[in-house]
Amino acid sequence: MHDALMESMYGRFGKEFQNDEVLFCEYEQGNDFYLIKDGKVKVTKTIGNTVKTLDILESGDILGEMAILEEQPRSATAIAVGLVKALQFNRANFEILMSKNPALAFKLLHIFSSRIYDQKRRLMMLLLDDMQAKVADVFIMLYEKQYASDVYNSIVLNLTVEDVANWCAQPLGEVQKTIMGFVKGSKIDLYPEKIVIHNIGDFQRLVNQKRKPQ
Amino acid sequence: MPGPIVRDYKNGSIVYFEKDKTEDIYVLQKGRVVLTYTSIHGTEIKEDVKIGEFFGVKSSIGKYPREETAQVIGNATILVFKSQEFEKFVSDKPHLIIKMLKVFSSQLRSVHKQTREVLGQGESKSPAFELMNVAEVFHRNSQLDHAGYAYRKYLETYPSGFYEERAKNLLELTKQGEAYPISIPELLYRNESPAKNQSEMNEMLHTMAHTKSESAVDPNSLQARYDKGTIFLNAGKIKEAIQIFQEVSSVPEVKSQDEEQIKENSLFYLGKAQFKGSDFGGAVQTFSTYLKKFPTGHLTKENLYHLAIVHEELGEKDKAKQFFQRVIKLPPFDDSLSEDSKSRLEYEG
Repeated sequence: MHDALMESMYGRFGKEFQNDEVLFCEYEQGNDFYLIKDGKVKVTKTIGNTVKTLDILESGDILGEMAILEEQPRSATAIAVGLVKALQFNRANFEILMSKNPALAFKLLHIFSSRIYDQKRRLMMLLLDDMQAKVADVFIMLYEKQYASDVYNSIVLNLTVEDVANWCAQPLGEVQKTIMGFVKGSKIDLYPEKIVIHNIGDFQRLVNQKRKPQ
Repeated sequence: MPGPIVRDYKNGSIVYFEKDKTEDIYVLQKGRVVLTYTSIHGTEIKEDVKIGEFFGVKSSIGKYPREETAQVIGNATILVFKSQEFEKFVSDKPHLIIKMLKVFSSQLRSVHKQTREVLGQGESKSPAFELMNVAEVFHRNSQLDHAGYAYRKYLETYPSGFYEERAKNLLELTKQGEAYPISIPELLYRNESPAKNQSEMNEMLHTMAHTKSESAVDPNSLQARYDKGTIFLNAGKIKEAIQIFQEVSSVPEVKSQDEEQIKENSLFYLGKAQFKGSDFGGAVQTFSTYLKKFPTGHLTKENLYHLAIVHEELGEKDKAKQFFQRVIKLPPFDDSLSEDSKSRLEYEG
């Protein structure tokens, strides 16, 4: 959205969060959703006895958007990192707000369509029942997001083995084993914070073989 | 900017193929267009476009490959927008955008739901319990402000909820900058059904009664003895706790459903006390007895979890694994017991 538009709406819908302040908490009933104007917001989830960071959202990102349709418990906790200025909306003012700000509505349309695609894409990967194919499809999925056109030489993905395990929701140990298999087969190089893939086509072939015939 | 163009299509023409990377958006003016999708599960779905309806919107706006093939049946006339033209066209028709937003939003929800199902996360059975658990995890991790926020939200949302007293006490501690008390009984999962709520709440208040033990309760009642047992257990007086829980869990007759519940709880706490006192053999026996006596008891999951932990302590990894696996098969699938069991199973490989 244009900065000028966000600025003009901030007077009425703006809300400020101090560093470390909670915007909303996992399992809290959600009414509001937020568009970040300035600052960063950390998204965390409780896993067992620990709190894990899932994502850091920035200016222009939206969060809590599932509350547009119906009230339901939040699926994660959102915490301000530094001072955060955000626009806060709810279902009651949503339609009026959107009617007055088609640009914002259009921005939401854009965010939703991307989210639907990304979620469906991840679901396709999760539905693969072969471990190698799952890991390979994580690479392909992130490659598709990062590279707009086809690339045939090596590509670099900024991710760790733990990230891969999170994406495909599989035990870290097994994901590690699979990745080391790819390293031994000279398909990839593994660095602490990145993975270099020599030929993404190898992985695409692997996944196509394993994906159930449609 | 030029406006949309009108294009005539012959029978059988393809407007676009699945996986095409094109950005146009279409409105069917005359004739028939069929969209063919492949569902996530691999089945083919066909859908007719209605006259006057937009198609190709999501992939154009989201700038990703087409998800369906659009084919003309018979002759058709279609209005074709470039994506910028579309944005301009809808900019003064917010009702149209809102309508699309609602469609997108429900699609997003459905994909979320499928993802949760695949990940075995199901709907949470008790958001009240989970919210309280989130608060306590923050508290245990010394994130006092975040814990305070979550306790307050719990009290706002469930003003006479089952964990009310506990939330109030713990909130007070966060306000004073105090750490999570190690002596507090662990948060037990309750599926809060409104009818049972009051009696369960009373029971919980009694469990928490170490601050108000001088109440009007008959000191020889089952409830009072049970409370005493919990106080001893929390204070680390294991021998005394074991003796009381042994007595309470084996009383021959109970007078009410509440007392039946106390008897059941006592058996579980007897196992916990034995475990705390390092009588691992005794603990295994007690937890197993609970499972036999109360196969559908409300602490079944806690019992299985504790059995797993005791076996782990005994170095019996295979047995521990079996019980952790049984824990994760019991709903709710993403509560703290399941999550902890999953991470322990992963750790053990």
